[in-house]
Amino acid sequence: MPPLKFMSFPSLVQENVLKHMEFVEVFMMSLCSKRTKNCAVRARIEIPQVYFTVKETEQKIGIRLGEGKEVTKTIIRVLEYLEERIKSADKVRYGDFESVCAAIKPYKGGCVIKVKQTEEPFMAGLYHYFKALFRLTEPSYLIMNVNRLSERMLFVEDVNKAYITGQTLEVKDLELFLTKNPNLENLKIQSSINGEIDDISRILSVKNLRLSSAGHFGMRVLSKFTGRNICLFEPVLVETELNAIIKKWINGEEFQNLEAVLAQNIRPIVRGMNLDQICDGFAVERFNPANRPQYFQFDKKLFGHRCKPYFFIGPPCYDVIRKSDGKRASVLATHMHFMFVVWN
Amino acid sequence: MTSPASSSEVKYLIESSEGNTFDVSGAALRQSNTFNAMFLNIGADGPIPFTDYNEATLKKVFEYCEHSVNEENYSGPKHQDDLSKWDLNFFNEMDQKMFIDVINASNFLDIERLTSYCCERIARMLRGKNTQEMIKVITLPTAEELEAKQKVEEKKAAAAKKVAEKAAETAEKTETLEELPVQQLVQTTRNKLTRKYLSFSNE
Repeated sequence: MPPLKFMSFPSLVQENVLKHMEFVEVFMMSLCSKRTKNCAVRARIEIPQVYFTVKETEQKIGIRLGEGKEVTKTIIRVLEYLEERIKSADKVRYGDFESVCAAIKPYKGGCVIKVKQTEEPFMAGLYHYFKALFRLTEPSYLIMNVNRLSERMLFVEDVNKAYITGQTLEVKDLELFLTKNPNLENLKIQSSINGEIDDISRILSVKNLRLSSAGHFGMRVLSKFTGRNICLFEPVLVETELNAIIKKWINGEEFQNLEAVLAQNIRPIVRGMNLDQICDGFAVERFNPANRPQYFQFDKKLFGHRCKPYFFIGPPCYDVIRKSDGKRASVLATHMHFMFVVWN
Repeated sequence: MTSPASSSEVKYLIESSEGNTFDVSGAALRQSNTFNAMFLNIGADGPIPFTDYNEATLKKVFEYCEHSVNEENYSGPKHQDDLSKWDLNFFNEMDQKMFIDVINASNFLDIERLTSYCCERIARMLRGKNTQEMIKVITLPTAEELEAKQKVEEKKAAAAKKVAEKAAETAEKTETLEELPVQQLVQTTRNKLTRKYLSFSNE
C-alpha cells in the first residue's frame, strides 16, 4: 500500500483537508513540521470568539460554540506538571515550543500541553503561535486570575470582554489591565478591589461593568460612572449619594449614558434601603401602564443567562422624568435590591 | 467530439494516460469546473485528453460524477456521517493508491463535491491522533530523518563546491599556460625543475 504523503498533495487539497479538521487537530497538525505549519497558516482558517483563560497553574485557549452562545469549548489546555511526573516517553520537542519540556496530547476534544512551568514567554509564544495559525474574526475574551496579572502576562491583544478572578485586586493593577485593554466593553471582576479611584480612572468608562464583591468601592465607582450598565453585588450603598446620582440624571448634568444600575445583596440588608430618602427632592410618579411596560429586561451580555425580567411596579418603585427630553426612568429599592433603569 | 450545445445525453470521449478512450455523459462531465472552463463553451474536437491520469482513476472519478448527477446542488462540505450508502461503498472499495489518484484527479478536474469528501476522509484518518501518530499517517519525515537528509545535502553541496573550485583552478591554470609565450613557458618549467632539484639535494 503506498504511503499517504500529505505534503505531496496539491496545496489546495492540503488546505481543504485542514478545513475539514477540528481546530485542535489543525493545531496538532501544525506542530508536525514547519511545512505543515505553513500549510495551516495558508489555509487561513477562521475561528469564532476566542477565550483565553489565565489561571494560577493552568492556562486555556477555548472558543465560543455557536453564535451568541456563552458555551465554550477548550482547544488547548496548558497544565503545570512536575518534571518527574512527565514520562520520559512524553518528553518531546515540538516546533516553536522547543524550549520547554512538554507533552502534547489530544484530550477530550482538545489537547493538553504539560509543562514544567507556565512562564510568561511560553504563554505569550503560544498565544502568538495560535494567532498566526488561525484568523480571529472577533475580539477575544480574557479570563485572568489576579495573581497572574502582570505587565508581561497581558499579551493578549484585541480584548473586548474580560473577567478577573481571585481574591483581592489592587487599583493600580486594575488600571494597568485597563490600559493594556483599551477596547474593553464588558468587564466582570470577581475580586474585591483595594484602593482609591480618581476621576479619570478607566474603569469608570467601561460600557458594561459587573463587580461581584463591590463593597464601598462599588458606591465610589457608581457615583462617577460614565458607562451604560453597571451591576454591583454586595455593595455598600448610601441613599444620599444615590439621590445625587438620580438628580444629576434628571437635570442632564451627568450619567447621560446610563441605561441600567443593578445593585444586589445576597443577604437582605438589615436596615433596608429608604426609597423616600433616595427620591427626595425631585418629582416622582407611580407606575402607569400607559407610560411604560411592567418589567425590564437587563442586558444578557452583562448579567448572564440567569438574568430574568424584573418587575417595576408597586410601592418600592418610583418613576422619574429627565427634564431635557422627557425620558423616563424607574427607581426600585427593596431590602435586597437597588435598581435604576432607563426606559427606551 | 460532440457539440457543446448539448443535453445530458451527449457523450464526450475522454483520453487517459494509456491512450485509451472512453465516453462520459455531458451531465457528469459538467460537474468538473475544469471541463466547464476549458471545453464546454468552445467544444472539443476529438477525445478530451486527461493524460495525466490513468483510465481506472478517471473511470472512478466519472463514476462518482455520473452517480451524483441527480443529487441536489452541492452546498458546502458534508460530514462523512451524512454520506449515503452508495458514497460509503464508493470510498470503501478503493485501495489507498486509487484513493490518492482519485484525489489528485478530482482536484485537477475541480470536482468540488468529490474533492471535499476525499479531504474529509483524510481529515478523519487524523482524528484523535497525537502529532507522532499524525506524522506516521501522513508520512512526514521525522526530525531525525530531516536532519540526516540535511546532512547529506550539506555534504553534497560541499563536494559540489570543491569540484567547482578545482575546475575553476584548473581552468585558471590552463588559461595562464595558454597565455604565456613558449620561451617564457620553457623558462618557468626550468625554474620549477631547478627548485625541485635544489630541494632534493638539500634533503
